[in-house]
Amino acid sequence: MSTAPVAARRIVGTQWRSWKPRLGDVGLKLLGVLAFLSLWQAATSAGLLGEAFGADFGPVRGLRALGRLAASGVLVEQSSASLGRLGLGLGIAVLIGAPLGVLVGYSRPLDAATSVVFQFLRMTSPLALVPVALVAFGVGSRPVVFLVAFAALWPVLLSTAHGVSRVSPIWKRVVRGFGGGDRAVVRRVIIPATVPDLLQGVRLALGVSWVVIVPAEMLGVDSGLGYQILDARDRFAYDELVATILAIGLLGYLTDLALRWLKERYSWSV
Amino acid sequence: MERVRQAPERDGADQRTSRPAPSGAGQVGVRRTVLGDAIIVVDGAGRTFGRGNTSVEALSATTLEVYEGEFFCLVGPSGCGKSTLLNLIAGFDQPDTGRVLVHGRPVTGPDPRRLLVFQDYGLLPWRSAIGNVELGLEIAGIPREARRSRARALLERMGLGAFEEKKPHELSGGMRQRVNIARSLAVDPDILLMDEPFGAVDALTRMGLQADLLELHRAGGKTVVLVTHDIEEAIYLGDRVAVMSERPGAIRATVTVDLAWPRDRTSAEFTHLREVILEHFRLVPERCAPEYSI
Ligand SMILES: Nc1ncnc2c1ncn2[C@@H]1O[C@H](COP(=O)(O)OP(=O)(O)OP(=O)(O)O)[C@@H](O)[C@H]1O
Ligand SMILES: [Mg+2]
Repeated sequence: MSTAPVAARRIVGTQWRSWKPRLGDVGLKLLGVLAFLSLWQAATSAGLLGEAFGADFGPVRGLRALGRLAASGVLVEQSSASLGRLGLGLGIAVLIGAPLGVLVGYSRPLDAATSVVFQFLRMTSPLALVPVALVAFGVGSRPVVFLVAFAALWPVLLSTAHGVSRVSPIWKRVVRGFGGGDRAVVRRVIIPATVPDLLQGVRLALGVSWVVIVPAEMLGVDSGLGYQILDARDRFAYDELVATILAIGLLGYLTDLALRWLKERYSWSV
Repeated sequence: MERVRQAPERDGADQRTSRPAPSGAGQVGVRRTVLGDAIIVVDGAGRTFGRGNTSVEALSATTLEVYEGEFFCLVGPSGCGKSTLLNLIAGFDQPDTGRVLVHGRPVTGPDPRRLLVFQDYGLLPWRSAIGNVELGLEIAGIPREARRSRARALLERMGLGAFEEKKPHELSGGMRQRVNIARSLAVDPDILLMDEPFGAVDALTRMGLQADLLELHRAGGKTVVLVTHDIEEAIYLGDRVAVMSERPGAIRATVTVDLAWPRDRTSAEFTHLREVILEHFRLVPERCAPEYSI
């Protein structure tokens, strides 16, 4: 067929282009990490950050402490406490935000009616709601989960709504043409079309969630990475404090990587 | 497989849309149709968009009949209401005046037995070629295995066997339209409504697609209504070609294409028909009164 070679060339072309820069990328990333750690180490061991920040605050002792915490099981215990709350909060945010986002994206009047309130709430720092959360949910994990869910809700909702508004009306007509009703349209067009935007929203939400969960765990809970930072400070175990910061950063990076992979998997291009 | 088809209504200069008499009715010396009843009846259908002084009359009291098994082509100037008419027949839209009947019943909504094939393919970009072909079968509730094998067979038939796992953006325009057509054929509709299906592909690809469509039509006995800007395409494919006037559109004339297959685009008869249709375009006044249209 006359069209085959054109398409074949195009496919080969994209593979070649996406493959080429990858090798250099990994090397540069490693180099960047090493440079950052070296600068950090140099600054602390040379006392450049002042007397208060000695070698205990450097990455070498921090990493060593991280190893200790990992070996003793503390790291896994505290990380899973944080990850559990984070996952629960994100899950709640998706359960509420995704359907709401679909509704808002679908209905212009609803979008107009809610946009100011949603943008307002999005800009409200969840930490400002700590007293409210404590009154509403008491002490323990529940206010922490609430704060995470509150922070995560808006990016999920707004991103999903954005995705829905980009759905081509032709796709819906195709499904209706085949005799599909509203349910078929949602299942075969709206959901698959918006999943990448939803996942992008979850990615943004994840970043905010990590920002929120650490201070939230400094209040009224006795587990989690946020708690562990305070605990390390109280024990003057500054290398453990650094270790915990490293763990938070690392977990944040890895969870983001997982979501990015998931998003790539479901993303589509026209 | 090469079933010889005959166009309806062969009596020479008659360019009206008229129902063919039943075969064997005793008219000696006149070849009569073997095609079935009027499957689509558009009866004075009009459509106006919007209200007040911003309203646009897209289609004015249009009447036409399409017979079962017929390949019916619609040509007309841009914006004359061809897509509007096709949307009415497909059931995506309702006429403001007149009515549209399919199988004798008023059209109230879309139906998979009467499928609109979109010009810009309407392929779902997150699905592979085969996934797209399966869409209608999924909605119809066909089990997975049956779906797969049917979709696979259709892609093979459209010459896309090697491309079933490719996403639409990895395919050329012609291949996408083949996938689109395969997807429509998968649910085995009685009527295919095609809105400028080959408008966006290059000339050679278009000829290939036309030949394939013709073969599918002749093998499958489906009724096809095809909208096109391309008069040559209309004559090459159609049993009849309806010419529409400028907006608000109405059928200006219907020309019967009494040529045997395979049709030779360079033959004298072909060229003559082209001139006949072009002449209708020239005769069309800027705004055509409804009573002019038949
Ligand atoms: N939903 C709509 N709302 C308002 N106006 C419309 C709508 N659909 C079509 N029109 C108008 O009706 C007229 C006929 O449109 P239509 O798409 O049917 O023309 P067409 O013959 O298919 O044109 P083309 O050959 O360019 O595809 C145009 O002027 C168009 O702007
Ligand atoms: Mg059109």
